[in-house]
Amino acid sequence: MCGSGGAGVMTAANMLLDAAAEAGYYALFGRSSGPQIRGGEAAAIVRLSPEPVTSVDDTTEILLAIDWQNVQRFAAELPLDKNSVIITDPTQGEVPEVMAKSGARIVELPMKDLAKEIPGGRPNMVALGAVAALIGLPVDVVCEVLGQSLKKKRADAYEASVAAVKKGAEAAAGMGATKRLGKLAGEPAKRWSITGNEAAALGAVRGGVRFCAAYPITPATEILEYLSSALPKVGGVFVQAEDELASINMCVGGSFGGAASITATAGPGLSLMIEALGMATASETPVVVVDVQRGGPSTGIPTKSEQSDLNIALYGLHGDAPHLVVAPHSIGDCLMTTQWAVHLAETMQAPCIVLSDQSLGQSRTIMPVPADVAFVGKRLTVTEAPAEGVQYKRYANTASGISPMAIPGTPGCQYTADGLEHTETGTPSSQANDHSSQQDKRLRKLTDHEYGDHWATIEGEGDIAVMCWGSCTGAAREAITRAAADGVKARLISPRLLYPTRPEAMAKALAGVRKVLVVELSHLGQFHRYLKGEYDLPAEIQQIKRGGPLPIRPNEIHSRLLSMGK
Amino acid sequence: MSGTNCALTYTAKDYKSDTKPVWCPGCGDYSVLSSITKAFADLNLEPHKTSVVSGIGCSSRIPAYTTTYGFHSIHGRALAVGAGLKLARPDMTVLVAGGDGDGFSIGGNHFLHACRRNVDMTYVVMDNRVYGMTKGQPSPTTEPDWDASAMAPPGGTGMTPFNPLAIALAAGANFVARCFSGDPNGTAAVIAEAIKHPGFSFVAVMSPCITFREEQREWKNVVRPSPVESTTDAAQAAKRLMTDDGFNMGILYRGHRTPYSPKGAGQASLADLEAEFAL
Amino acid sequence: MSPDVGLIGSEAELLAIARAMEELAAEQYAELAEAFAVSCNSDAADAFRELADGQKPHVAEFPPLTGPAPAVLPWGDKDPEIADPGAVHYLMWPWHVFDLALRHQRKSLVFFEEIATRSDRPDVARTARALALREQDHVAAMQARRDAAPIPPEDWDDDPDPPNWDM
Repeated sequence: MCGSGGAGVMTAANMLLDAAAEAGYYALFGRSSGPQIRGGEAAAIVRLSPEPVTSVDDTTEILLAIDWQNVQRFAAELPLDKNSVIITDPTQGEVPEVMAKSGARIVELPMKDLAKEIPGGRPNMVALGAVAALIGLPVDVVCEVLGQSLKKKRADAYEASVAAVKKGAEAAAGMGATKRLGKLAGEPAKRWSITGNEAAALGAVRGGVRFCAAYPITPATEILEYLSSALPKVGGVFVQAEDELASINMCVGGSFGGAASITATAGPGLSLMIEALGMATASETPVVVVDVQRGGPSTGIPTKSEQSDLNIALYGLHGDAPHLVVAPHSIGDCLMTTQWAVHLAETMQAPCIVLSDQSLGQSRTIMPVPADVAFVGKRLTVTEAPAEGVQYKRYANTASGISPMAIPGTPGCQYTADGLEHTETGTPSSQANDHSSQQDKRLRKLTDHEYGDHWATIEGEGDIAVMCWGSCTGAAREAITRAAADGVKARLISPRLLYPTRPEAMAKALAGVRKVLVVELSHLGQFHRYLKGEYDLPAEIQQIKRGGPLPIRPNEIHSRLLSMGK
Repeated sequence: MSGTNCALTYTAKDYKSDTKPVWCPGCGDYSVLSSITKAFADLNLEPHKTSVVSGIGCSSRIPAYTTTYGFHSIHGRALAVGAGLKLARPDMTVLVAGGDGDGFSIGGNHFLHACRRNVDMTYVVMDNRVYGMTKGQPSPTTEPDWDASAMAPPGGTGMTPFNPLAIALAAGANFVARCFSGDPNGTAAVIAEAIKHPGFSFVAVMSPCITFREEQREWKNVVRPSPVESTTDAAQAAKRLMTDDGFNMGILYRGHRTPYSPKGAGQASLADLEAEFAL
Repeated sequence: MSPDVGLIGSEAELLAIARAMEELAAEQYAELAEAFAVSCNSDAADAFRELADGQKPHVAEFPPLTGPAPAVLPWGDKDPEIADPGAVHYLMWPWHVFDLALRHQRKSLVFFEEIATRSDRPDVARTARALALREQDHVAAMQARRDAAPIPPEDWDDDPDPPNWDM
């Protein structure tokens, strides 16, 4: 649904989503808008399904415009074909040429005039009713949802909205057939409505985070907003810092003090935080940073998604500074992956970067209730002072590489954390043997850890493998299902753990694979280079790569698989 | 600062580009854009010898709306970028612009040092006491009890707001003033004076945000011209600020510090340098 | 807004000021028309464009400026026809737009009437009276234009969607 500010596109789309949720469906909801703060053109992109969905679809089956002011801006993000239906209000502008020439069927719905027939009626409610009726969503459920949000506010607004919805539904009868919602298989399952950013924030709290220092930046701000209200409720602390340099350094300070700490940012903020992450690596202080990737480089495209911060997350720290990098696959996966990130950072006393992106962070999903995963961040601490005359070794060179960490307040274990290279007790050192043993230790603690099956999503069989990461995973999975139906079998290999690498596990995943298709939203193909540099791949590699803002859709991967399968 | 070229007279329109601002209608920044371009016109500055440098935020979009050499740089670093430009090109007139979030939060450190360093440039901050671009978080100049933001705790931050004029004065700025966007002519006159005045000139413009701080529409009923003339005595200025309620408009202080100019107008040749290594 | 009447030394000066006021209004309306087009409120944009175009014949009634434009207008720091930022709303209706113009024209009328009464120069006072009469006609016309526009409903400023963001 699209239209300009004041038209209420987002409100109507959110209600459609809520109604579908009420009726038992699953969904994916994203939005696109112009640069204005108020009044600007906006598009709400909703995908509804009787089964869980984690990817955008190939085309827009129904495009409803409450008005067309500047909406042609969204043309590339709303692909249409001859099976699509465009619903337009004849009094609110012309269907843009670029959309009309798709061959879509154009249907008129005089939303403004119909709304006028009802005192207090609004065109966006008429639109809501029409769309609900067309796709087969019961109007009663829509009215139920209206009641939940409006009845408490103003009874007359509720009455007017219900009347407008019903009018829209009536009008839909004469609009011909469109794609309809599939049937639910049984009773509605227990589900959640959540965005990627909310999921990441919740995952952090579940993982044991109790400190967050924040600096707002699009598209990560919602993580910080959630934590700002959630942390105090669980006895944690939230503070807005003056900039990213302050926020990351505050987090490292909080973590040194014993609190599992997190902050969230985007590319430009991550660039600022890199030096402090090096300090966390060298001083072995756990900290988690969620990077909600957006179009780069520099200020780039703040409101759009991309997968181009992989290089800086993996290789951005100066020196040899191994640290943890993980990436969620889907909106729901933001929860588990961030919780896991806290666990990993705390366990291995190292920074962990969580690479999410705007399409996950700012999209909402109706999904199955996420599984309750057991791990909670557990830092190895010191509870007893060392024996008389023995100095506490903060950086003791243990077999695992993880040294028991004394939390300030523990008597007898005082030490100075340091970015300088150091001995086992933390005394600064420029000695070769101290440097090499500490470097070995800091690497070993990461590479020897048992990551289990969480390290990657590996599904399917066949001698073709689709290798991708993050938000491309959903589209890849759908494409593979379609290709299988066409007789081309392919595996999905999507690492959740990007660093440290898992050579043995990856070799196992790639056993029998002759051709690889690397899929990513990066103009330079950062993931492809990473795979080639860190792993042994079969000789035949194809790529689907481009920068944002347009997502890679299942049909692109599907058609490439078919050609590779010949 | 370039001298006037009497062959050509500029009007404010000459400094406005064709790019349409995306600010909300009613935003104070429209007036500030008018004031800046009017100030440029009053000084008859050549557009190609003038530069507007900004950071990130609603008001930082301003360079693209002018016909000067603009730089829409990164969050909080506008003063550094502007200083670099002015030091390399003292012949350019450099005006740095941005908001209170960009300038006093992440840019706070650069603000202190820009005042100290006293490079000859002008810094105009459009202060609306909120972070407009990222959905309305409290900024350093936000009142301590404002809590209409999703990131401010109930009851507000409780933190003393940043006092930009006091900080500027204490850090050594050579010209300190406060204006109101609802008085575009007055603001234009002050900005013109600021540009003319040598050294680092700081102009804080109260510019209401009608989207996130609707109550600021009341500012026009509260601001007043300062009851006293500007002073050249920093101590006097400091005393005034201690009892200032933030709504006195006008030039507070005009200092006498010599603008910063790096040393070195040497005439050595490359051969001279190389000779040093010869045995 | 109290004009410093003593500053207006001649009829020519007064005419220059009156012309500048009309031109400034035209500029303001044109700028607002563009701002509203960007904000996707084409009805308000059209109304402001109508006002901007309507200023052209008003400006043409004055003799062209022989010298530079008046640098500082003598009514102090507030232009009578400048758009008050607080009076503008991105969802405003044409009725509101014409009401805005009407209010500012009334202020101009008061401005000229004050000069007519208080100036001690007979030629200035006479011209001011003529300008006031002219402004009265404008006020009447604008009132009619406003009253002919559809009345905005009570919830005209209700935008169910939250503000957007960028960075």
